[in-house]
Amino acid sequence: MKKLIIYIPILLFILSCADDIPEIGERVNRKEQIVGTWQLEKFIQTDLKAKANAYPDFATQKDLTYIFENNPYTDFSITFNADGTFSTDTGNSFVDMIEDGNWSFNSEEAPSEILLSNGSENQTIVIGSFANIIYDKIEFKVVKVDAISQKEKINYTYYLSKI
Amino acid sequence: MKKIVTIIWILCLYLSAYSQKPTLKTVPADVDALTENVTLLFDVTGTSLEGLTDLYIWSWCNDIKSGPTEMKLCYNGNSADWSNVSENAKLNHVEANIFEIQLPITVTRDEGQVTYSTIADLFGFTENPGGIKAFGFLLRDKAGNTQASGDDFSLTPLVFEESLFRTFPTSVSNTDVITVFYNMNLSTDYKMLSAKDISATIVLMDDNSNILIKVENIMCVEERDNEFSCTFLAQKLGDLPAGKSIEDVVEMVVTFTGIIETNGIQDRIESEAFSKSFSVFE
Repeated sequence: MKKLIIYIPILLFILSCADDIPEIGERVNRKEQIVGTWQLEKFIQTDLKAKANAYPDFATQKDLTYIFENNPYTDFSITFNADGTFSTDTGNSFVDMIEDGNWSFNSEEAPSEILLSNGSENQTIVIGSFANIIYDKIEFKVVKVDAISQKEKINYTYYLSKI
Repeated sequence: MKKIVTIIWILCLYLSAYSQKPTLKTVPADVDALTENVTLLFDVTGTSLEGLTDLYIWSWCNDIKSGPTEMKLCYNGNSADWSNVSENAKLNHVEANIFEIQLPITVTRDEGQVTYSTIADLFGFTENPGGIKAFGFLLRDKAGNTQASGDDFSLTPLVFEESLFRTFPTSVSNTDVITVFYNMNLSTDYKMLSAKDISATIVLMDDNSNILIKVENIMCVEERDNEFSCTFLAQKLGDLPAGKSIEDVVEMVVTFTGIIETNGIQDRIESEAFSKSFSVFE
């Protein structure tokens, strides 16, 4: 009986909070989350073969963010607008991306890529991770695959922050 | 006397015409002992083998534990015999002076049909692929009367090893950010060991070894103790000649230069050249 007295208030408390808890499975709106200007903070190059062979860190990964003194990768930013247009500002960085045009996800429900286009020019940005998007952080990545062996060789990860 | 001079002159011309070594390039450019789907491409232009269509490979590597080991294509039984090279060692004639071996390759040996998928397989290093670091080769006719040897071919190590030169990443294409390292600790040139102000000269070449871009005096940074590096993007190094694009750049050659000072007199000293073919990435 004592236990019942303890459980009932707890149960009532949970039920009173039920309206605040979103339904299980409700999808977040990725489009809303991605709209805004994203500034590059860090640019990392990873040798995937070295990583697979457990080479030491200095032979596996390299921070390229400021590797070119007068051409820092932090100069780069990209703006995704709600109307489906985008623009990039490369500054002095060597990031090679379409200047402006239209953007879309490859999938509205579970996007893994952002498709950029301007006329006949097309570019695909692979989304490395949405894990920290609620903290206004996102990762884009480019993976280089050997044309003959089809094995992944190099990974470039772009770490961006919403400004 | 005139005749003697003429004969010597003709002899020199003849010898110089066939003084080159056969070259070996692989597709993909970087291979280790366990890389699959490799093509070994041999070019015998300028060698004594030029013009022949039936060529055989004779190849060996040095195992730290068991000593020299011949390529298994060269023999059918338990041991290699120079005077009886196997038909399995015959190279595919691609065109003109170009020959190839494509892996995987299936051949018949005394024990039956065998498939070799990797360089390690070719030398029987299936249980110890890390044991093969490089291999030597010569190309020959069936009888072995005509032959020409090439330079040893180094494989990408399976485990990280300190080396005089290396790139990061280990495989690079002409559109990647490339870092070339020079580990002075491993230099055998005692003068280089005391050199300061290390800089690099980078040469980018096309598939005919024509120089497309040459940039000198790129200052290097010391990333680790006595290991210097320079980082570059090929397409940002300079302007390519008219009609050429970054796709035409297939190879780089890098040399490092340092300054030494003796009794107040400065002198420049140069490392040996490091060359690397670019991989093709998608």
